Amino acid sequence: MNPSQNPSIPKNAEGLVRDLKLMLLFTGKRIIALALMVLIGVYLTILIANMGGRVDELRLVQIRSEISEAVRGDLSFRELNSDERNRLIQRRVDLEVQRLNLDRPFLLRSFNYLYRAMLLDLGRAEQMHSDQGSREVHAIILERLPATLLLFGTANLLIFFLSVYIALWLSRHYGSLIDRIVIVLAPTSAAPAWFYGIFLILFFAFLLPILPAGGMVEAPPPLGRRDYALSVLKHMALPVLAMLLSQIFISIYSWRTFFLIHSSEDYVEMARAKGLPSRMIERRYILRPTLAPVITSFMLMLISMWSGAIILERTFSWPGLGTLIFQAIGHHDTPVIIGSVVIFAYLLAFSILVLDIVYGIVDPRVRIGAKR
Amino acid sequence: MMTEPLLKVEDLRLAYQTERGIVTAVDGLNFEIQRNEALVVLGESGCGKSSLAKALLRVLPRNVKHHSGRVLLDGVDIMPLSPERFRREIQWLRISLVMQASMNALNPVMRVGEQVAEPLCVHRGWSPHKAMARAGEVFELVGVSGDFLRRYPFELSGGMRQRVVLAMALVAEPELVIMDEPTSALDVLTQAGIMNRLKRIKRELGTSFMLITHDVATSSEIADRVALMYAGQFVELSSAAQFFAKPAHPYGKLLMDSVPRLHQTRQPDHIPGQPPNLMLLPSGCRFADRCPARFDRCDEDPMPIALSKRNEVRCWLYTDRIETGKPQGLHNTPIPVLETRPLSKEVLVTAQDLHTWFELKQWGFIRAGYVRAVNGVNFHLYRGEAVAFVGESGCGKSSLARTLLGLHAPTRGEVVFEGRHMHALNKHELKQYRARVGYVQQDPFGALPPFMTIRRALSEPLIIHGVKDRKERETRIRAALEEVRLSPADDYLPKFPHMLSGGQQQRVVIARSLILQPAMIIADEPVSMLDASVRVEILRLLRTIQSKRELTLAFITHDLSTVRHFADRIFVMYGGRIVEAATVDDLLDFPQHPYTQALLAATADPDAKNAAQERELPDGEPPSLLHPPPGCHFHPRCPYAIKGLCDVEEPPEFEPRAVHYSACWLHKDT
Ligand SMILES: Nc1ncnc2c1ncn2[C@@H]1O[C@H](COP(=O)(O)OP(=O)(O)O)[C@@H](O)[C@H]1O
Ligand code: SF4
Ligand code: SF4
Ligand SMILES: [Mg+2]
Repeated sequence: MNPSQNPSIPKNAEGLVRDLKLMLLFTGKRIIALALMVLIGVYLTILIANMGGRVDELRLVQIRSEISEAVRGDLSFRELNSDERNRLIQRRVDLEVQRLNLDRPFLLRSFNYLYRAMLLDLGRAEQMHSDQGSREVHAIILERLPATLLLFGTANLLIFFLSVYIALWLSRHYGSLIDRIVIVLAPTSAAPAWFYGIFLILFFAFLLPILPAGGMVEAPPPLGRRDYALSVLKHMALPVLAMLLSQIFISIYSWRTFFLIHSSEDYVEMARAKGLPSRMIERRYILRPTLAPVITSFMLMLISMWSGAIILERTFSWPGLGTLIFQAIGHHDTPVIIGSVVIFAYLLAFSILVLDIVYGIVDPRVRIGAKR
Repeated sequence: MMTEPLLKVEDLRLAYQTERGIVTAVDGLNFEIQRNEALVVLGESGCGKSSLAKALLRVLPRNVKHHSGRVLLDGVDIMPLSPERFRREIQWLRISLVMQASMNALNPVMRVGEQVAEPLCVHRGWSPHKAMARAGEVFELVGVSGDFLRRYPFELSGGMRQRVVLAMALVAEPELVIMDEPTSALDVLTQAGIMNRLKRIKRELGTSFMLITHDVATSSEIADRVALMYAGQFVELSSAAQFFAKPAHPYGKLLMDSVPRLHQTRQPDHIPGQPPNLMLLPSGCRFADRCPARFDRCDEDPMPIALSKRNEVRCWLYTDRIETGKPQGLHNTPIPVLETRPLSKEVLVTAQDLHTWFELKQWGFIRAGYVRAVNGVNFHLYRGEAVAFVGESGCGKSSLARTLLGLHAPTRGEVVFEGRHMHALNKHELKQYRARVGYVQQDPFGALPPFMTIRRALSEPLIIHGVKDRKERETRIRAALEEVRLSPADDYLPKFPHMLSGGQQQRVVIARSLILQPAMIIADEPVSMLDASVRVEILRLLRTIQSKRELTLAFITHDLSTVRHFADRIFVMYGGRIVEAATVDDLLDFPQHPYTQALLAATADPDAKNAAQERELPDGEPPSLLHPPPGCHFHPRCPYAIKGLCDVEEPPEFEPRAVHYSACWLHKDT
């Protein structure tokens, strides 16, 4: 029989279209669910932060300072004496309070806050300002965010790909010398990244001064695009290495064990019986079915690294979010702290969304299960 | 002149290195498989069957210590081939394998068509499209619609997955397909359907098969020749006709006598003892300590003795080639026939319109529907009778058992026990009720707490039910162990469950269920996890205890062939309902409901003639309990379905024969 005439073989596209549709449906559902999650998270933050009237106080202070600045700065009010000026300010403040419904019950206003927070309208900082001089909290945060993303993104991707590939290789060469070395080195990951950071700085910046001890770019910043990138790379080397050292061995070790366990699955044995080449077995029968949990654990690692960001960025004076939060705490600058929490919620939700979509792509059970 | 055999194996050996010593799983096998021949390798679990398959196809675990012998495929020894050449030239192109536990043999994240087509792309360099087209053809061959090519394994039912695995084995048209327990995890009907396909494929494609199984009845469905394996060796090689009619080796005889048969009034017998530990093999005949015909020569290792050209047996009884009659010394010990007591008319348990539904949740809180596991069941169980609930897996048998035990609350309807409504019991009374009903689970190992000694496990229910006196507890424990024939009790009391064999564990579970002097025992598939040779033993034990103590025994099984000797009445279940109920003999000899008839047609007694014809079977799959078909649940598969009636209205219970009930519209005039 000529196979192409066999009517019961569906065209390649059919399965793909079905999968694409399900994937879209699945992604849509997840976006809605996550948006709800962020909404609830931020709302809870607002409720918590508002306890003890902290936010209200902040806003009153903020409004008052804005208005008094405006009144004092305005030439047309120069002639007024201080009493009149204060009355004027009080009147304006009252008006503003009314306009912002600050005299209304908190419940109503909390939704107003929520709305503003969701639009990243995070208010103004009390003390701090961005390098450009803006006091808008979101400007301050957005200025620092890319630095953090760059540093942690690079380190995590590097750790991820290196450890997965080395782990796969080791699961084939189980019991070899390198395997044993990795097992011995695994406990080194008990020390946090900043700990290695200190030694690395000592070594490569002071004893053997080939790399800069801190910062993100030389001062003054090089002008050419290429030189700038090169300088950033040079500054990144030590913090990335520190993170690598603190994570890589445990991560290789745990994934190697994980792959070893999965390489005794029935379908892997079946693939061996089918006479498939071992690289193909590793890729299709060991890595692909386990990709979902591997990615999850990667994401968890990423999230846990966020929490170490403050100290690590301080160690390397890296101008990222961690450093920002550190400074904000030092300055008691509450709007910046609250703003960082909101941004963090967004980042978290975004990571989870990416994770979910990747999950749906790598694991058909998730994608197709969405229909039922 | 005989043509060259397809496969000729000489002195094949495979040994594993373990922490406790070397295990020789395959110990010098010699055999041939001709073209278009099916060789069945029959043996208890642990005798080395799967190792044989692995040794032939070189799918070896890391701890292989020794792998040797000659394997001639078409006259060419394939053992010296390098791993790379073996992989490219032999694996899958010439020999393929359906592995044991194939439920999990498919990669969960690859489309099944892709997995079936894969070997063609890898070994023959076909384009994915061409290979997929070929996969479509093999799908049709094994009876799966090509629509499923682009599905993932989890979207397929167990029977379909098994067919896909079979398709995978056939895709490159290998000369030999090795199948390791291909159907043992499947339902009776599905299993029979797959055996039908195998017969047709063998006839049409001329493929040779090596079928590995512990199930004598299934093996007779396809066998041309039978190899009986025991402790790593073949003890008998015979033609199927000869083996199923009159096996030569004492083990073969005992095995055939231990098979429960539908159409036989003689009780099945069990094989005493256990197979030897492959690490500490006894000297002399390996079967000696279980062999009723043992004599002084058996202290020496028996050699294979050729009885005829292709028939050999490894037993000293045949040194003089005695071929006639039974070898002396071997005779079946007469089995005491249990007197059948007239049924007592005292009702012990009544189920009235019993429904057990499970709510299915979506997103954790929205109700997505109900799994109607028990869906309108009525019956009386009398004091002192043994009844069997028979049905395919997923028909709601276990849920019914658990409802009777009070572990699930019925959604509707009720259970009346000794005249008391169960829903009206308070906590204390419920505890007493549980003491009146013993429970024997399917998996004895799972049922016994792993870190408790047998003594602890048995005293626990006594303590819970307030037997405070340690001496009294000890006496009762010992009596219970005695009753399940675990004696001397001192050997077992300090042991932990993992130190016992499956059969012994199940005896402990039975002892535990008896220890509170129950009025009824519910045994849910008590033997399905056990080896064939132990099954009969456990069933007979249960039956003996039941009749001695005049207990009510509710025995749940998917295997019709076991019920004749171990129950008085049968309830056949389908899709959460009872479709037929009658006394054992009446039901087995005059089945009324079309489903029961199909089930009986699918249940084989071992017979070489089975291989010659295909069985008549209904198509399709068991009904979904979430969305059961309207009307009679069997109507989508029923060859007699009456349009406009069966698919609309649920049939009530009719009585086509005296005290023989059937829920089928065909009997509405009775
Ligand atoms: N606790 C439970 N929750 C949801 N579904 C269940 C539960 N217990 C059993 N089921 C479902 O009920 C159906 C019948 O199961 P069961 O009673 O175990 O049948 P059987 O003993 O014939 O295998 C199955 O589809 C099973 O998934
Ligand atoms: S050799 Fe002896 S012990 Fe072994 S099976 Fe034959 S008769 Fe029994
Ligand atoms: S009621 Fe109808 S469909 Fe159901 S078994 Fe009887 S004849 Fe078949
Ligand atoms: Mg069950």
